[in-house]
Amino acid sequence: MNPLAVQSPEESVRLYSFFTNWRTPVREGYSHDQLIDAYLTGMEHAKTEEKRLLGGIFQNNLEHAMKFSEEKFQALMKIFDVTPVGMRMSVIGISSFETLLILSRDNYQSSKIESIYGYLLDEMRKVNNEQFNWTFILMPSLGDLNEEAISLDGYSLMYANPA
Amino acid sequence: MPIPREFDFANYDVEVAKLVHGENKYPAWTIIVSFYASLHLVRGKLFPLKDVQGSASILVASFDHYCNLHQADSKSKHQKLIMLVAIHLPNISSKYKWLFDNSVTARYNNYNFDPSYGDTAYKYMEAIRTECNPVIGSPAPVATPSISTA
Repeated sequence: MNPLAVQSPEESVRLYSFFTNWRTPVREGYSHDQLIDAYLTGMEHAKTEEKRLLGGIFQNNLEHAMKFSEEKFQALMKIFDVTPVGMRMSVIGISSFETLLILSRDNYQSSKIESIYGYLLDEMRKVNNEQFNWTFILMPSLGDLNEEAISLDGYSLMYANPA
Repeated sequence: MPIPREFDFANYDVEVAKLVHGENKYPAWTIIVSFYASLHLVRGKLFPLKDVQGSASILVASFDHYCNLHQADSKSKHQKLIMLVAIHLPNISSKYKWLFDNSVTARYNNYNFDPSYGDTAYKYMEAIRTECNPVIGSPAPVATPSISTA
């Protein structure tokens, strides 16, 4: 018989005779159950608070990564006279992002490419810290791109160049 | 049997890159093999590496050891190595990143590289090999702690 299924007090006493010498002390303050309830409720609030905080951190990081990527897009135009044909971003984690910069075949094969890499590597070193991780990938567009492969690799954000 | 060193792996990949690039019919594979040769070359060049852990400076024997020490860093192993190359081997960091980028994005272009990409990949790998100056089969100069029997 399942003791938890006991319904009547008499039955309870019979089954739990060893328990009859014990009472839950009546005192001011909170019962154990109340404390446990309070703890669990607090945990839920903490979880919600943690989620809210993490959401805020993620939003800040995402905005930072987007802004930084846009600045690099513009910098390639200004410094190297190279306009990327596309830019995507992948969210790797709450503080980790990767930007895919797609250049035309001619620009990617030009003599500027090593300088462009050098510039972006320097920028990557400068922006990275313990709280924020940004990486980039440069690639040429050599005809029709495999959009499915790009999306499947997580590059779900696409930059719409306003220029 | 001695444990193969990074430069031994690199030598193997360099030989494969030579073969694949010979006819230059498969530039995507030249890129990929040249990248992996370069990966072992830079690892062999970089390590053992002096690294700062807290206030202490330690000698890290290998790249895997480095990754174990830096597990809290959210970067992937490839990204960690790219960063190390950018910091310690700036002369070849652009070439190494070019090889990495074209290896991982080959699928995005449906492996549709013309032979000039194979030429560039092989040229970059050779430049990295020159910079790293591999000594094949030599013992890595890792300082081993001496045990006093006195």
